Amino acid sequence: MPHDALTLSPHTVEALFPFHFLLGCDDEQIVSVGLGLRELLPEDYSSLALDQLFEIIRPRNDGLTVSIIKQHLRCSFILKMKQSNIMLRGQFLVTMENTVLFIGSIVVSASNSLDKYGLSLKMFAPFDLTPDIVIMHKFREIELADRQKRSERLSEMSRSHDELNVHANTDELTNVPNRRGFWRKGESVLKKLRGNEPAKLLLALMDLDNFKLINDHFGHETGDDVLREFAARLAQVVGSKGLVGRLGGDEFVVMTESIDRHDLHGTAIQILNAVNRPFTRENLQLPLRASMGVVEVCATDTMESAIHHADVAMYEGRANGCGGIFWYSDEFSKSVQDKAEMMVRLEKAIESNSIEPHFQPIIDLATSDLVGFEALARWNDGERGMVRPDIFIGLAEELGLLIELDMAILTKTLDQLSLWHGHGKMYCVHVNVSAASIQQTLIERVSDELQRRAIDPKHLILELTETTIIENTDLVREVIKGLSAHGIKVQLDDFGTGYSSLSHIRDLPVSGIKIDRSFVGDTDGKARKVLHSVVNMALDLDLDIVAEGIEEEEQLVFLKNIRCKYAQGFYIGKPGTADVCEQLFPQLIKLAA
Amino acid sequence: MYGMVNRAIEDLVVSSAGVEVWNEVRQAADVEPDGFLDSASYDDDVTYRLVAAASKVLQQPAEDILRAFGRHWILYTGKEGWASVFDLGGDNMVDFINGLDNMHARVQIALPDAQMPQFSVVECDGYLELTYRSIRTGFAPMVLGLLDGLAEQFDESWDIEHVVEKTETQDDIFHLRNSKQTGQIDEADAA
Ligand code: HEM
Repeated sequence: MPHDALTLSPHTVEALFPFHFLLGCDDEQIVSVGLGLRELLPEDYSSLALDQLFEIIRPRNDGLTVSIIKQHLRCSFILKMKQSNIMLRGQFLVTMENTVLFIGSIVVSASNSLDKYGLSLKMFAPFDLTPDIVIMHKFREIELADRQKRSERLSEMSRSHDELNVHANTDELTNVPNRRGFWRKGESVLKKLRGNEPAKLLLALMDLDNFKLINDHFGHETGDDVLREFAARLAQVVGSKGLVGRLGGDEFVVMTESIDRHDLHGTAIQILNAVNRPFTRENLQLPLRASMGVVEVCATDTMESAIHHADVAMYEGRANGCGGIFWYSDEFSKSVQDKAEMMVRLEKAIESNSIEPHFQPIIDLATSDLVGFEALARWNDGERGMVRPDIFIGLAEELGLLIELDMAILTKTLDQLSLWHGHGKMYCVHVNVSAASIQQTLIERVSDELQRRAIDPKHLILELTETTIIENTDLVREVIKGLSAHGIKVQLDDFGTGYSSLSHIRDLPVSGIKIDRSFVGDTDGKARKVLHSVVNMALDLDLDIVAEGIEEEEQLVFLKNIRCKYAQGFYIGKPGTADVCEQLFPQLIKLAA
Repeated sequence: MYGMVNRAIEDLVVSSAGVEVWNEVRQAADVEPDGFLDSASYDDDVTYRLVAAASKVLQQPAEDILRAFGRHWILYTGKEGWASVFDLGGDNMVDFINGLDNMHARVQIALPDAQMPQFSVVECDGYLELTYRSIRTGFAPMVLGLLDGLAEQFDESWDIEHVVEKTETQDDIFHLRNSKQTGQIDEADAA
């Protein structure tokens, strides 16, 4: 036995090489075949010659005979089975029994890898990769399917994300971007603007002046139609170079580019014109009127600041009357800013009770005696000094602090009055009461304050303007009645400037009137006659009558002559703090004598 | 365990009880609604949770669920989705059982992350002794179901008994006894 001889039992050969076959050297007939190969060969294989079973592919051009095999013992053979396309690859060995053993396996090519010809695992050698290829192929298929699934899942996710996004950023009713959507898009437009300075960008905020009316009168459906039309008109007028959004309610916003500042104005007008056309539906024609706050957006702006500025312009503009375009400007913004700051300071001043009454003397014209004072609210706004009463009272009204202001002045005045009374100076005081303070509770509050200081109510005269009365005549009547029941007098202020004054005198239990300064100042003959008859009427009705705004001696003399009872004005005495006006008074009165 | 195992559980619940019930099971098992990817490896805990949840929702012992799952895998999921691989196992019970270990060993090559079970078969007098070794515990009922399924698949009749249960030192052992081949006509009948 050669020293490199190896002994394998037929059983082992069978297990290791299911595709082997054994060939007799002499008759060149197949002696036996492996389990796998047997499955593939024709049943009568043992009676067939080798070249009837196999075709030789390799070694090239050599026939399949034992002698040729023996010449190529170190070569790889590839045999193709005659009846099928199955190929075997392997090597021939010469055995001790003078037989030739082919050991090999079937060849699996990529194209027919899955074609395992009905063979099962036990027919493959452990090292035969055919089953592995089948398995790998299956897993590859699964992996591909999973990859497909994954990408579908991803695109599904991104699609629903997109849909969600669109949904979240669009106003359902009008189909234009909602606040969120507009904000986002606007922000990216701003970003571009920063890199492209020369382009002019306009942001216009607008709402319909009469939208509430339309909604109330014609119903929400019509209201919705109007909003849709509003959005459509805006979208049409700004076209592709602009952006339209609905911020809520009937508030829309537009952002659009212009070539230059001039064009900016033109664009704003175009937008307003587009919106201001009447809305027509069937036989309904509704006029539409919008107010529009417009701002030129600069590169330093944020969406927040741009919208805020347009908002400020729109509201401030509207405060000065409805409809039209209101441009936001720096001075404008400064005044708005100033106002806002002043409001903060005023609120503090009211809270800390630092708004003071100043007192303006009122004299009895017949005797020239000082009978009392009108208390006038004065605010010293540290930064800006004294602020005109009409300004800060207006601000207090905006702040909703009129009642607090009225009460602060009332209590401080009563404090001063009780001091005067304490010194035996039995003056009266006139205190102004604003419309806001006219409430049932006023009666109790005022009489409480009087009682607390033991002041006889007859020394307090509350002054109401005619406008106050007009606003709520019934309530005012009740309150005045209540006040007079407590002995507190009420006078009509600014008499003659407002409405049908006479009916008020007749209907309301007022104790007197204060003639407006405009009557006193007018020296024209007719005016004097009116003044005269008003005084006469008051006398007839037994009403107290005070003329205010006396600035000259002549006016004082005239009023004295027509028997007007009381007077007040710069000529008699300017308003001042309690001490100052008392000191000055004797000198002034001498002038009048 | 690979996703295909979990997905096969899904397949069983959906086909036997409907999508609604599956959603219930899924939620009870705290599993995302996305579905499993066959080729991804999941924590074994997911599989255990699914079996526990299915047992709770369907009000059946976990063993029954696992057994039903094994059978279902062979007869439907595996047979349909894995036909090419399945066929490699052979066309009869004995071949298939004998090739089981070889099959899993080859699958292991394709799925390096898998923790494949190991099977060995000894032919005894009148029965096959199948030893099942796994790093996991609790899947013996599934093996019973798988074997049930195989027998049904090949239209053969086998008594399958779980004779030894897994302990720390001992693997699960099953005895398979061929009772009658349904496909064959009884000699008595033929006469
Ligand atoms: C086409 C046939 C089959 C294929 C391709 C296959 C493949 C697999 C795969 C991929 C796993 C998952 C392993 C992991 O993720 O860690 C597995 C597990 C398993 N297989 Fe198979 N299998 C087949 C047939 C069978 C059969 C007929 C049985 C019958 C006993 C069986 C018994 C098991 C068991 C019990 C497990 C659970 C894992 C464990 O016990 O650790 N398999 N198989």
